[in-house]
Amino acid sequence: MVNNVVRKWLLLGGIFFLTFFSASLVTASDTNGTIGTTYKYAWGENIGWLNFGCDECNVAITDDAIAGYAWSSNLGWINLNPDNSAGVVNDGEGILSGSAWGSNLGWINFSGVTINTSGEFLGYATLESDSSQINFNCANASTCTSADFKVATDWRPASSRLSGTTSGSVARPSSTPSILSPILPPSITVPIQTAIDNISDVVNQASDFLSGLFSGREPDENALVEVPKVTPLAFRVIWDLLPNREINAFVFAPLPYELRTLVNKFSELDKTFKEVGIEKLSDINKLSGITLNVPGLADVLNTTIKTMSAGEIAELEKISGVSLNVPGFSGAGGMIGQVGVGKISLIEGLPIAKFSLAAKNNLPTEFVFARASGELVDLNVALSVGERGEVTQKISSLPGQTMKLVMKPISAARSVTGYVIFRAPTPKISKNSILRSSLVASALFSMVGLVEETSEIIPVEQKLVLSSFKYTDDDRDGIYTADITTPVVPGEYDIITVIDYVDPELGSRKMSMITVIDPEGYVFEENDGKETRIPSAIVSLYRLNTSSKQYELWPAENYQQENPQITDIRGTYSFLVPAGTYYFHVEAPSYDIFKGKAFVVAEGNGIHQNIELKSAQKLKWLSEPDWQTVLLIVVLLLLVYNLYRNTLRDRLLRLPK
Amino acid sequence: MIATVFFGLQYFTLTQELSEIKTTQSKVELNGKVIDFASMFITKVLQADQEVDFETRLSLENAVRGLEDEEIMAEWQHFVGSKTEAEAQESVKDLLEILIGKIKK
Repeated sequence: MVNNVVRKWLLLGGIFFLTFFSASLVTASDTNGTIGTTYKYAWGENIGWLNFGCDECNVAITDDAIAGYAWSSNLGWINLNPDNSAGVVNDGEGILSGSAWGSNLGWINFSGVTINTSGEFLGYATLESDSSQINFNCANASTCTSADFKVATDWRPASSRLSGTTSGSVARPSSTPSILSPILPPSITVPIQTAIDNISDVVNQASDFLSGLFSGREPDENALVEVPKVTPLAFRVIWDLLPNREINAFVFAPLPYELRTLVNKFSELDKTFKEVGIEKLSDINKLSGITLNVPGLADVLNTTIKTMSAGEIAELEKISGVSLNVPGFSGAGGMIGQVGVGKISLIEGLPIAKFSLAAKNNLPTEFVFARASGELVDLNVALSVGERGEVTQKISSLPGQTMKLVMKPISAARSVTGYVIFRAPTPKISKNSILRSSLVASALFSMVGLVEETSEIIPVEQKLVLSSFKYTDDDRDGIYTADITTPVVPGEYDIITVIDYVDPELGSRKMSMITVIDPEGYVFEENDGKETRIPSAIVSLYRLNTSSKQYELWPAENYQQENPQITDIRGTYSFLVPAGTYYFHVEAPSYDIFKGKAFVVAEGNGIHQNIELKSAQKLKWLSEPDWQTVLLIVVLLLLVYNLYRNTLRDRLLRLPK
Repeated sequence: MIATVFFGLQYFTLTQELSEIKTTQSKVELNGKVIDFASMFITKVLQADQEVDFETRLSLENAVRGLEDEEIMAEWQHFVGSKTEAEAQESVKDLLEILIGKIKK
């Protein structure tokens, strides 16, 4: 309330002050130039009329500067001489420069505006905010016939004055012709509300300052924001503010050499990469969590079978474990006769030795193939892409399995040696994994670029070498093979193959493949959160016959294994199976029969599920009685006892006394 | 007496909670301001295809001062006062790093 009274008095005082002083200021002195009452308007192309001769404008023109204000009915006051800047500068000859400031307009550059010997303003000022122009004289654009406007003053350039005159002012005519253009705007005066608002703002600011002073708070330094009127270099769009070269180097960096080699050699992978937009180094993270199944074995072997004669195809039937699946035909057996040369077919389990000469020639060099179960199961080879784009190859197998490694050197080799090296006790999980559908398809990934060229000293000696073996080429077809037994301890191993070439230019070359030995599966029973292994359980594996749509006992004998298996003292079992759909059937004395859910094996792989059996439930309620059972037994006993007593009483009553 | 003690404790607890909430709110508001400034800086300056006009520079200056953060202010002034392209690039990198760092907090 008190504040309102004080504010009212201050407002009234302000109004009185403004009225009194403004009335005295409108009278121009004889020594300084002022703006005439007739010609006082300039035209801004984006802001409309600007009045330089309003009652409160107080424009004063000297040999050094122009002071005072101009008024825009749309955008308010324009200060011709702001405190924190030089304002509009006059060089004494009427050539203006510097800038005026409008709180709603920003800076207005007066370079380009002049005052001629008649005291008329000529030229254009420029708004720095939008580069629009303010025309000070209709003669600039020769539009005076349609719109007669200009800004005129009684100030004159120094060179055109009479000698002895210290100021450019000349005597103003006693009467100015009052011929106004019909399009000129009406006379604009400062609205009284604006003046009140200005005074109110001043009072408020003073009040804020005082309250800040007494409350110990410093005045807000951010209240005044000074922005240089000249655009800093950083804002002129003459520089690249972002280091484009470095960004381009990152964004447009090509895929790592290893991946590029794969893409070039394997058209399907190239196509897939293009479809998902993996073209640059920065795209590698797109591979995260994505599994790409690229066709390989079918393509390669189909190419092979197309080159085979009918006789050679018939020979395939005699090979144990080999099956030809022909789309559109039912029944896998006895199909050879129906498969003609060039027909689409898929050959599974064809031994390397049975490959035709053309197929052997097409076999990619310097890649280690891995097969198990007498070459009937292609071990699944996964392609892992590391964070830096490095490519590693990985296979998985089961402990103690016999594995055939096959590789083809580029040219004649003096020797091919393999090493099994321990890497880690726990297999590392790779985030980015590209599954390759088969052994032969994976071979396509093993081009020359993927083989590491080594110096004379192969650094395998520095690692924990578990065993070494020699590859042999008994039939001298250029393909070396070696039979090894996988380690019995689950973990991660490196199989390093070193080729010692006869050609001194090729020297010695090394290939590396990570082998993960998965633990075997086991059968167990859970007791109080602890697992008890069950020996002598019969584990049977059933496979879905795609032709008959029926599950059949998997023919393990064709794959040099047993089915069903009887678990050992550790309750373990293991199957290494080709792709297909399977389920488990487990039986054990004193346990319920277990029939598992069907699961799919996408590639040749080891099965190592841990199967839990439940104890047979026949007398469980006796072995583990709970309170409900006990209560029921007690009630039953009481009922029996009651019945017995009743019967006994009836008998006693019937007896003759 | 018991009621007085009870309500006194309640008052004390609620005051504590209120101050915590106010602190959190101020952090959120500051975060919002930093995001606004970062967004404005990216769209109006880094993505500018013509000279940044006065009004925009004024808005940016107001925005950066509104953050009341000395670190950001110093780097901003370093950027505005850049004399060479390399200097401006370095300032942009540092400024963006600071802004992202502030947003993460």
